[in-house]
Amino acid sequence: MKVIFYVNAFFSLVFALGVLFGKNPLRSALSLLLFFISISLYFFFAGSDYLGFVQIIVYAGGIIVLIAFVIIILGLRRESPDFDISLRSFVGIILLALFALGVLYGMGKSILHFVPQSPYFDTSVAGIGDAIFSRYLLPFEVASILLLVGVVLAFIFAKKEV
Amino acid sequence: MLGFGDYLLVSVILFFVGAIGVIFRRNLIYILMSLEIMLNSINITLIGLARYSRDTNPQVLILFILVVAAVEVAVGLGIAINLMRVKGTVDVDLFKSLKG
Repeated sequence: MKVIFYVNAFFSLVFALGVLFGKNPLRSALSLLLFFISISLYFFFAGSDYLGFVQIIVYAGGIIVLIAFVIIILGLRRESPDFDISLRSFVGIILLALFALGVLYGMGKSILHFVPQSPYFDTSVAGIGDAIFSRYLLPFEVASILLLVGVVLAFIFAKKEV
Repeated sequence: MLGFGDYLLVSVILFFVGAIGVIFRRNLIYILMSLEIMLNSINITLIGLARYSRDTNPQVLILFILVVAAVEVAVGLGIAINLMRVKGTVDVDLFKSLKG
């Protein structure tokens, strides 16, 4: 189990780096698609089948199509490498590395031994739906309003005259 | 035996990779794709928490993160199309309209 998990982790890291260092935008989008599918495997590992399938449908089926269509519409071709090699970038990378180490150290010390054993554990569709429509009803409605605002904003931004 | 630490390690590494992309790339499309990598790495932490603290709540949070990611990419790509139409480029270093 652990071997399969880390093989999957290796592949997701390779696909993420493929998105990062790609020169052809469409090829980077395809690498992002494989990255999303490898992310869904973590959900299957954790026993949450529903979230794994939602991940594949929404990310691999929806967002990738959106990104690929925009790349095709904009006509982005293979470009010269556009990395921002400057002092501020390297300072940012060093700060980020310190942040990552701090997260690993702090969370590794505190959360690894903290097992709350919530009474609400359920990975089925019925369990998640029950949680959404009872305890999380207000955030669910706010999320629907957010989606509506997103649709209107995307329409306004992509219109001809702004 | 697989533990929460494994999920956390993979998640932090992928978050770091996505953040490097946001900092280093100048193409707006690449920045949006790196943001997607960062959001997905957060989902790995949450699903590890759900698995090892035996809790349903992180799974609901994953669904909300998914909604936010979808809205973010839709609005971001709309902005990218508009910038391409108005300025003729998606290089973020060339946009100075809001510079004080």
